[in-house]
Amino acid sequence: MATQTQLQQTDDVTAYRGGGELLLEVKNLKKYFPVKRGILRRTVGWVKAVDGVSFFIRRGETLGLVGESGCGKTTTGRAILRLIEPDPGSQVVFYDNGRAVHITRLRSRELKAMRRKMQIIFQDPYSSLNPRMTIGDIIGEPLIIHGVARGKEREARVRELLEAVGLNPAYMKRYPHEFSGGQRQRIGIARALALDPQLIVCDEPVSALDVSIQAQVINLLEDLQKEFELTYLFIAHDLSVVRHISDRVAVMYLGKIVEMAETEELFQNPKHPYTEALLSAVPVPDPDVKKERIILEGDVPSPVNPPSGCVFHPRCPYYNKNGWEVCRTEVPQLEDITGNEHFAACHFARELKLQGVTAMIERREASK
Amino acid sequence: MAEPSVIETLPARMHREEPPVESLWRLTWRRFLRHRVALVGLAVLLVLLVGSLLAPWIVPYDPNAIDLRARYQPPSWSHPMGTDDLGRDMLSRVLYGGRISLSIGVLSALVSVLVGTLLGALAGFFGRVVDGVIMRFTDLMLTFPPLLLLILLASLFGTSFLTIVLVISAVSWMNVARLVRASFLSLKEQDFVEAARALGAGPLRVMVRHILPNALSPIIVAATLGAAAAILTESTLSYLGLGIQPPTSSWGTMLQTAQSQISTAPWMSLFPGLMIFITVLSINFVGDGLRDALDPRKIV
Repeated sequence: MATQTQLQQTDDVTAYRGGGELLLEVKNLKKYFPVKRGILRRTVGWVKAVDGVSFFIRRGETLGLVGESGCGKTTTGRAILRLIEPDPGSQVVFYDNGRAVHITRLRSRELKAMRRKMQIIFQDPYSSLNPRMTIGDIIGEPLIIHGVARGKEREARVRELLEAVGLNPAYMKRYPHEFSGGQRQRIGIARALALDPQLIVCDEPVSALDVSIQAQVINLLEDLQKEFELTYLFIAHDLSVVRHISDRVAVMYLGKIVEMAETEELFQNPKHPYTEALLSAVPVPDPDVKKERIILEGDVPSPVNPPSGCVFHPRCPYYNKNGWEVCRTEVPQLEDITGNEHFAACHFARELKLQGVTAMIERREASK
Repeated sequence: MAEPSVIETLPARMHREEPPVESLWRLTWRRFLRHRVALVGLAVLLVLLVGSLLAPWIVPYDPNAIDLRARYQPPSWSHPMGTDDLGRDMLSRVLYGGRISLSIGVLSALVSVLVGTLLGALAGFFGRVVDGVIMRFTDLMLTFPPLLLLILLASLFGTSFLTIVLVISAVSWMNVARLVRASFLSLKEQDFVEAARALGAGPLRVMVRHILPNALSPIIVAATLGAAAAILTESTLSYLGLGIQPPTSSWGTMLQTAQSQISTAPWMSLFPGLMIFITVLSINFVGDGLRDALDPRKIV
């Protein structure tokens, strides 16, 4: 493995410039799952679900994490919380009021204490609530686990949380099956809020909801962010949602971050061909606009055996046109392309003229 | 952008009609009540249970009182189930036998379910080495022919009430263990378990508060059907002379003493046999009803 280059990648990303206090810093995050075969369950290979991911989140901001299904977004989110144990060498640093806490090095007791600061909201509102517990028990459980409040005090806190997420406090005594998907998602959000966390990993929190309900939940998340000074890692594959809610966006492909920038910068001025292709797929709510879609050829390669060099090269329209050798042989580093915290991992990020969402529409209209 | 009006009015609107709070267990009970055959089974079981419990107060004769003048009497008004080879009243003995047989059945099912649940839960939850060791032991226990194991254990540990319960449990916990392990394996991947871990819940809390309540359905069904099987096993043991010892009666021992007179005094085997049949059938009906009522596909 090219450890050397990956370290370099780490250094580049974390050489950020000012612009607010850091809350979370992820360096070289890795998670390989073993592929086992045969009676003896021998390990015959590794699924490189997350392969050297580095990024940072500032306090109070929302970082969108986008990518196709199976690109490692969810694994990244869970590895940060150590719900999935990251591989050795991964670093997750949480800045708790200026004190750097290395999440990956915590022992279980210390980790439990950190759970109060970092929470998660799940994609599926049906499987994320225990069907045998009442709403009050579900939301009140974190208070019991951490000995925060008991008896009447706990009940009062649960009521407060239910109100904060727009649910009737009288619902406390009910069971999850009595609620709709959107309401359940609110319950999940209330549970995540119970311990007054600083960071919430939102793992596709609206993907399983009706579009009309999505807007409500997104608005709720935004309101809560303001009210409780929350920081979100917002994992999603819906680019419109991500564009709406995120301050900055990171794009993942096959276990790696290929581009990361401030939201509008990324949408208007993508520096990675994969991002450009993703953006071309964003629907425009105007029937007169016929956008040119960049259709990627082939399927996402297997993360067991990712392509050499740049993992995107077999599907990259620019590589396929020009046949650059460096794309096949060298792993591109995530570098600041513009000097303005616009990171991209592409050998030709500076040379390629890629189109953002507005440019795509304009070009089409000009050629009409 | 934000439409707090929608968010705020939504719960208020729904609040107007407040339906009664129903837990999943209550829903399950309602579904069970719709299952006719199971209800009949439950009623029969209750009658049997009450009859056995109240046996000392309702039986016409002392079950062990020998009356040599009244041997081999066919059913009549004074002896509704006839008498046996020593002139003992069969009805009294059947009711007293029911106390033994039913309690052995229930207790054995309970013990085997407890052991099976504990081992299965540990194996399913912790996986890896724990799983390997526990499940290989389970497989090993399953390879012995159960009857052979029963006879071996019974002759080793004797034939008191307690040892019989333990012996029966020892050969019947394995299926529960496998069942529970499978449930735990799938449940521990659920998001709500992940959520509990993210909140800092320890393994014990996750297992007891989050996984177990959701794994109870198959356990309850297994326990019910296990009770029926245990009653049969007890009968088998007693029939082989390795169960409850005379003069105490259980349905199995009564069958054993009856076998030599099966052509001359058929009522001696008919009634205990009928009781076993009815009991096991009723329990199985109840088990079926529970299985349907607890079916996860019907749980919203």
